Amino acid sequence: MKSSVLSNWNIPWLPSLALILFLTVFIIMLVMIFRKGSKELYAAQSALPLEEEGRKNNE
Amino acid sequence: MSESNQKMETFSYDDKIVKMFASVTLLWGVVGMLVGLIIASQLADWRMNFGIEWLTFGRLRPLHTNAVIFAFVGNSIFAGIYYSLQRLCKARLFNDTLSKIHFWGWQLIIVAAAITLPMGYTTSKEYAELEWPIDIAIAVVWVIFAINFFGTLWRRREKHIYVSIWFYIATILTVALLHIVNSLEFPVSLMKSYPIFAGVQDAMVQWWYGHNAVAFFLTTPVLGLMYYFVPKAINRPIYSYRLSIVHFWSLIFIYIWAGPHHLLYTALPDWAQTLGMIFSLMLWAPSWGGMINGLLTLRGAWDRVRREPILKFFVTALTFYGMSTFEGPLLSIKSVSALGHYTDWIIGHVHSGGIGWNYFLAAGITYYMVPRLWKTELYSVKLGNIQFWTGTIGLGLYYVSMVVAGITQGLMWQAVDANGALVYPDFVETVTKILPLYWVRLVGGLLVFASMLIMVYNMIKTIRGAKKEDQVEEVFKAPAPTWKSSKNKDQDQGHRKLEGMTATFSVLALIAVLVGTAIEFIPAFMSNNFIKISKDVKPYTPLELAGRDIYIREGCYTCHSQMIRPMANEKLRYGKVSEATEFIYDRPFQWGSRRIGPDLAREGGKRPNFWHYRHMIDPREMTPGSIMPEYSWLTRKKTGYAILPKKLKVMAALGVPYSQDDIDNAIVNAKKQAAEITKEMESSGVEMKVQDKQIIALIAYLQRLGTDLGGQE
Repeated sequence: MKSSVLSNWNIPWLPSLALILFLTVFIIMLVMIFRKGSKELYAAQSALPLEEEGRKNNE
Repeated sequence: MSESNQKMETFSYDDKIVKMFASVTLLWGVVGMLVGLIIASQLADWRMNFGIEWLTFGRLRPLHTNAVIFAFVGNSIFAGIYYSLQRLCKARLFNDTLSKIHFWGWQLIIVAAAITLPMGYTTSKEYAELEWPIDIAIAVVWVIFAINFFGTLWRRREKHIYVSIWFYIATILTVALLHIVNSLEFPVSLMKSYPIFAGVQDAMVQWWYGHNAVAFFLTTPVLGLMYYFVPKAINRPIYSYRLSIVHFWSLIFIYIWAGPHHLLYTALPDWAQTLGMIFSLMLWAPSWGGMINGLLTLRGAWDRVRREPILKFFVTALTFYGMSTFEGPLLSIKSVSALGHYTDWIIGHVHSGGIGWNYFLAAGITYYMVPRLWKTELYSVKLGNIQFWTGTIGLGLYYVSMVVAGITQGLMWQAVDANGALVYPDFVETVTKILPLYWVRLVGGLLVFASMLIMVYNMIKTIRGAKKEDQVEEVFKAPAPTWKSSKNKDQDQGHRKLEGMTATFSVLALIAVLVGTAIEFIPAFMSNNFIKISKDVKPYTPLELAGRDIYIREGCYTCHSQMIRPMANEKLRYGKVSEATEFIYDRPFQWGSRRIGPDLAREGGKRPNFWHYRHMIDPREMTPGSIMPEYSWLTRKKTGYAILPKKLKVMAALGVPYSQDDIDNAIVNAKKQAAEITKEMESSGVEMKVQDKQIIALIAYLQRLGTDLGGQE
């Protein structure tokens, strides 16, 4: 069965499409997270769970 | 604008629902692990089902997996998500009524599973065994959860969505997609259905689901919880926020492609197998990135790990996450899979993840949340430490025994002597050899179960120590969300802006998941157009179909595969290698994932009918040393003939070439075949009156297996 599937394999563009999509996603992601000035933004972002959970009303 | 000039809003958190989910987490943890213990004892000693059909391994194994995954871990996820979501959003859950419907609906589904699975109502699709009415209930409850979740995000007072929430979003969207696609089935009766996919496609869809159920139910939501609770417990931010972004996008983008690694060396096309293997190996990077990110958050505070059980659980959970996500890709390398697949190595692997990662992380967040929710102190830190060490030693025994058993059995299956003959031709030899390790596994499981009981006791005492007058909802205040107004919308750029846009973020996450799905699915579905369908492959006769449904009901697939891999030793042991075309009428496919017993793909015609008859009543009479349970009830229960025309009609509607004549005469033909089989055994002492019993239908099915192309090369 495998040989019959492989011999009839007729979608040569599919692996190329997968590769392009894959690389594009990762390059965009890396460019975004290492853009200039992002360090401070992410420092504030990472502190979110440690912020007070909303101050108590009587404080 | 300074905070003093901002309008302040008051609100409270719905912690009652978190308490409810946290409480049932403990209950279902005990139940799920207890069922696991029962089935582990049945493998060590076959008599441990006490001759009761509802307690056999085949029926309880799906209950164990469903209970620990969806009941135990599921409820802990909901508790953790609802706790952290409200605090990260500084907002109460969207709707209290939806929260309650979510809670009670989920518990009802679990109870339905606990009743129907032992009764044999199963689709036989691993981790998706529940029948169609329960599938619909799951979809409804999940949508309610999603509305409640996204409604809370919509009402949030904190502009940016923290990394934990990204993982929750990916979980909610992907689980919905996985569940709906894998549950596409055609009902035959209230508790019976056939899937719309067949054979190779059904296998592909099932393991796309099965693999990603692990990914998006047992991994991504738990990682979200890790990113919230580890910084909270240690009181410092996550080591690298950038790494968490890389972790998130690469994990959800890559994970979905790796499903076919469950089907290496099967009749699945080669390209799909290679794709699954490569993407599994690529998963090493994001998985370890996440583990390192979690562990490095504890830098400089390792002395606290020695004292605090919460941190012990978190560190061990992260370590096991790293170990499991190293071992998983390792097992997906084809040459390693050739040895490990179908063996207990896989069982060891899933338990190192299930216990080490999921149970320990659930324990950590339980220890964090319960004293805070009930506004009290933990009853006993010492008990927490005892629980940790009991569980860890138990897991160690479990994992080591299973890996040793798996590799031993795998090597025995592969052993061929200088003359090209199997060294261990009797399958049962490879089972009796590893029986002592099943006892070690049972001891390990007992310790893990004991550790769970310790936690339950510790939590009950903690909750009982809480003061009643403290159990009131606290009111909080926070600045009103000014960022929602249009003039403040364009201040941020890049990924930070994206993190503030829930809808866009969700769509991008869904696209990431859909891309991998599409690349896997499109060729798999197109392949049907050019697979040469052999005219020798015929649909099952009505009696064989009835027998097949009994095979599914009894969970035979939990111990027997139906897939002969293209390897010399498998061909020697089982016969001709399986081909895709042989499964075109298999709804659902029955390839299995574990060989506690031998493969049955070419069982048809290998042995006389009478052998099967006696084997079902007393397996040890025909195979000394066998650990298979006795199925004596099959000689007492009648075959359900009346529903056969409807079954054939549904199959015909799904594309199986049954004629109207086949459907109209289904009962007559089934009875005729049953009489022939029984007549053939009459000379051996079998009475003709058993011809309408289920054992005859099952024999008809077993004798058909692999016979269509069995002798053809």
